[in-house]
Amino acid sequence: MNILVIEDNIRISDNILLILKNEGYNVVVEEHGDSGYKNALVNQYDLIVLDIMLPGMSGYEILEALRANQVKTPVIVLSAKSQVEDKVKALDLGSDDYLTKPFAPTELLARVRSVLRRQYDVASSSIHIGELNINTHTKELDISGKKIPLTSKEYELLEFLAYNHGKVVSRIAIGEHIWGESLDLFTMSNFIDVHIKNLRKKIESVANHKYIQTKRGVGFILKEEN
Amino acid sequence: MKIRTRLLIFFSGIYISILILFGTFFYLRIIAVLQQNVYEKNNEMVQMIQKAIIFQDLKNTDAIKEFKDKIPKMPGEMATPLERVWATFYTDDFQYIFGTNLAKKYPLDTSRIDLTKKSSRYIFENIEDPNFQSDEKNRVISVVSSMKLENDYIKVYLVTAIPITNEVKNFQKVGTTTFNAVFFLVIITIIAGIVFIQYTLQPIRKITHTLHSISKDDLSQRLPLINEQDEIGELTSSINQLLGRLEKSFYHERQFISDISHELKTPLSVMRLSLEPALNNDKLTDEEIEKIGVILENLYSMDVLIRKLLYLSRLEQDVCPFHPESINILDLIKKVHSNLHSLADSKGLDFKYHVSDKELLISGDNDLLYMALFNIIENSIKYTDKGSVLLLVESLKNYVSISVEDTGIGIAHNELENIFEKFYRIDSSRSRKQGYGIGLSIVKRIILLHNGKIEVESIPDVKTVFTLKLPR
Repeated sequence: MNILVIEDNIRISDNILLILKNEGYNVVVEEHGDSGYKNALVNQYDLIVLDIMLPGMSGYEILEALRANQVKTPVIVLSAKSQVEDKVKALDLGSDDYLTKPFAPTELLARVRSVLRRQYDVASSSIHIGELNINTHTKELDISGKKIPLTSKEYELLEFLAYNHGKVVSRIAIGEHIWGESLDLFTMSNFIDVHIKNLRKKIESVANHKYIQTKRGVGFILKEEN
Repeated sequence: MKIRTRLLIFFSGIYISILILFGTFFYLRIIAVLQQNVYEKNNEMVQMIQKAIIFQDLKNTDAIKEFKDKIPKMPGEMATPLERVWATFYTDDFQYIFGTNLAKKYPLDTSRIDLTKKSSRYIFENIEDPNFQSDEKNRVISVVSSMKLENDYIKVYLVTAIPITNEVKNFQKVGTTTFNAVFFLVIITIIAGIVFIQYTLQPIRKITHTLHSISKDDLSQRLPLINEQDEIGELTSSINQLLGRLEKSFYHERQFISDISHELKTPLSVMRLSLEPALNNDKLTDEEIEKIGVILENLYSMDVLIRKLLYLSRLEQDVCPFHPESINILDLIKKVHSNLHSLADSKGLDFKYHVSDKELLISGDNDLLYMALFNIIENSIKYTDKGSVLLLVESLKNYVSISVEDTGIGIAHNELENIFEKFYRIDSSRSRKQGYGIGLSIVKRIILLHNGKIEVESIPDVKTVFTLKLPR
């Protein structure tokens, strides 16, 4: 998952960067309101963490402008202001959640997960597909109760496919979400193929069915094979 | 030569020349005065002697011997004037006739002096006499004058010695003092000159220093304007105006690139967003969906290209954040290796690295260097279909050398120097390989930003070696 953090206080942004990166998210930090807005407008992110007090465009202005430009990326507003009016204003302008500083890392992560679930229309932090149980909170996979150890990239890949359960996910969408940086198609395809192969091996060694289907020339679908 | 040195030399030169001129003049004057003094003393003596012996009337040289009695003592003096002077009479052919007491006591050594000369210097040695002033070495320095006296009957030479020991001593003292004073003054002038020039030119140095920091950091800095009226103030104003123009033009260029990439990315983004849902459209055939997949991949590639272009242009304008830190090369290599070895494996290539030292530290930006290494190795893997890609890291005296050697299709000799140019891709059969020719430009720029060097050697169809040299 790609997250854009627009925050000018370096200590705070470094802190958030660390927290999110440890959870496996790809994070980009912008320190200035204007460049943050531009970035959000032009690139696709899964989530934006937005500070209100920024040099240049304020968080409110960015929010307003993004929504006016039909950018539907979910936004969590992060602010030191804790008055009711501030929260109401941010939510009404189009943010999806509001978190006051100082915040506990676990709370930030939980809200991120919650917002992402909503984005992908997933009901709870646990996703069940056939024998697969994916716990997005603990980042674990178990198949009919048996825990399957996955590398972080393998888990992210699986989780992304699970969020898009039943839908074709293009390789480039996978590449961008899991690896973030702009990889050449050639390299990216290779990375994806390797991880898909490993995932399949791990799943199929335990499960009774196949779950990761290949859509030729396009990408993959996670669904129970019938 | 620096301006301040030139100024210093010029003005010191003038000053010293003036001092020397003055000193010389002074010196010559004193000598003249001294000579005048001696001349007058001598004249006085000669006159006195002539009067005493009434030279006019002398008929023979014997009479000369009697003249000492003719001069009376002055009241209060212990000796007659004659006893205090040194005078000798010689014949025409320099035979001794008669001399005063002093002259008798301290005769001339005629081998050391030429009596035909009207005036010469002579030094009497070993003199200790209250009537004959000697110096601390018991020498009497004197001016010996030789005068021809003639009347109708006889011709004689009157030789007088005027001691100038004291005068010489004083003169020397004055000379030494003057010289010391001049020397001291010159030193002081030079020091004062240096200090003053330093002080005056200080603003220039401040400007140079500030300018140096401006070009590296940001262009919004301006030079402080101290004295608007003087030359340095005018220069400062001009430079500030220039900086203003530069800043504006850089800003415009950056805006341009950022605007262009925005303009290009927006439609691309729209296209991708509109097409992606089509992948899940049941009403489309598999073939049609596959075609849409191809379109999406191409759109993605364009997106990557634009992002790389933007990145390269930011690198070239030094706008990219550069966070230097101490980096262990081995860690960097390990990271790149673990991230790319699957790529090499997928092509059946052997991908290994060898590091000469476990601890190889250089100063640099971790993200940028990772990007550079990643790009070079990715490139090598892409252009190698069989064999191996080897990383060799060596520690040399002033730098670390990282060489990436592959057994790939290689680069023709005449194209070697061009591969780092933007968009340069070696033609024909390679065109199917993706890369857009920006990767190597990015690598080169990153290496240059680290004050390093990058070189490439290649034998077509055999191997290619990229060598990165990074200073420690």
